[in-house]
Amino acid sequence: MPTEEKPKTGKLNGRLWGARARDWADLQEPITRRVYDAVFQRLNVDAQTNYLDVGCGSGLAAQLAAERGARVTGVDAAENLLAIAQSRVAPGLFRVADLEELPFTDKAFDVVTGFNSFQYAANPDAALAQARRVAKTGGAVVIVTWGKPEGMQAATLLGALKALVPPPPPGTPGPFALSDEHALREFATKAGLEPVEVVDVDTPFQYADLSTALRGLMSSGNAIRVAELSSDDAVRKAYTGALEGFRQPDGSYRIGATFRCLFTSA
Amino acid sequence: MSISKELLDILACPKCKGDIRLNENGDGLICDACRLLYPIKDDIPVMLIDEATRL
Repeated sequence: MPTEEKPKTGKLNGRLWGARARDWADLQEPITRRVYDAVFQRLNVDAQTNYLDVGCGSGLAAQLAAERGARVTGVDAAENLLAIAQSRVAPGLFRVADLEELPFTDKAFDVVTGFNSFQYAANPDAALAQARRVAKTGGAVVIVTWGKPEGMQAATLLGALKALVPPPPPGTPGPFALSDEHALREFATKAGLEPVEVVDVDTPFQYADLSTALRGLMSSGNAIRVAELSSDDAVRKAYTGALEGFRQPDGSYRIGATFRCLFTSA
Repeated sequence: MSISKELLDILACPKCKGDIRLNENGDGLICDACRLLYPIKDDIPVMLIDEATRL
């Protein structure tokens, strides 16, 4: 089969996620810091750890792992995000790569994480199989995805842009495709990973004011994709409307969100 | 760019997963088996098969 026909993650995601790399790094990525800390603490990431972050973005997780002493490696589709990651973690090894074709030898890493990345891969099963391949036998592969949408305030934000684009073809996996615990465990098992534990981490989105919230939210690859299909203004209006209910008396915004982490053994 | 020996050991060609090496100019990574050159842009190696140059 010619390579063009195999779905890969790189090019499109690279363009979308790199478009507003600075806003992502400064405003949006730090929101999920609690998830990174929870995962590294649970796995005792330290100076003995050879760590790979798949879809490492601007490298905050890599930075936190490096601060614990780990040797860090990160791959992402977006060169602009990786440049920021490299500036944050000078000794880190960062490269542009397809999640479906990781440029590493087998069994190279003690810990492999994908923070909200596997479900955005063009081929999630292939991406997870690669994560397993590069993890040492008995090493940890952690799949982090959105928590269950029911009752989650952030689901309102994720749904806010839906009306701006044509509905996806039936059967297209949405952001919550892996949030169901059974589906998540099955996703891991299919890739040859042994599910160990599911942990939910409360990670509220907090922004100082409306303009910060909009800059943060509009830096994600999905928001940029929708803006390309509609307009920046339409995305701004949709988010402004969705944020209204989350305004605090001091003018800041707080939106409840949960991330679901499946710890597996390779 | 400087790549430590330890890190170069875990790096592989995304296509064949075999060994890669730094080219003479230090601006690319070569897989001799696949005869592909992966460019290094702004110090970040681009390990995409579609972006590699055939040798």
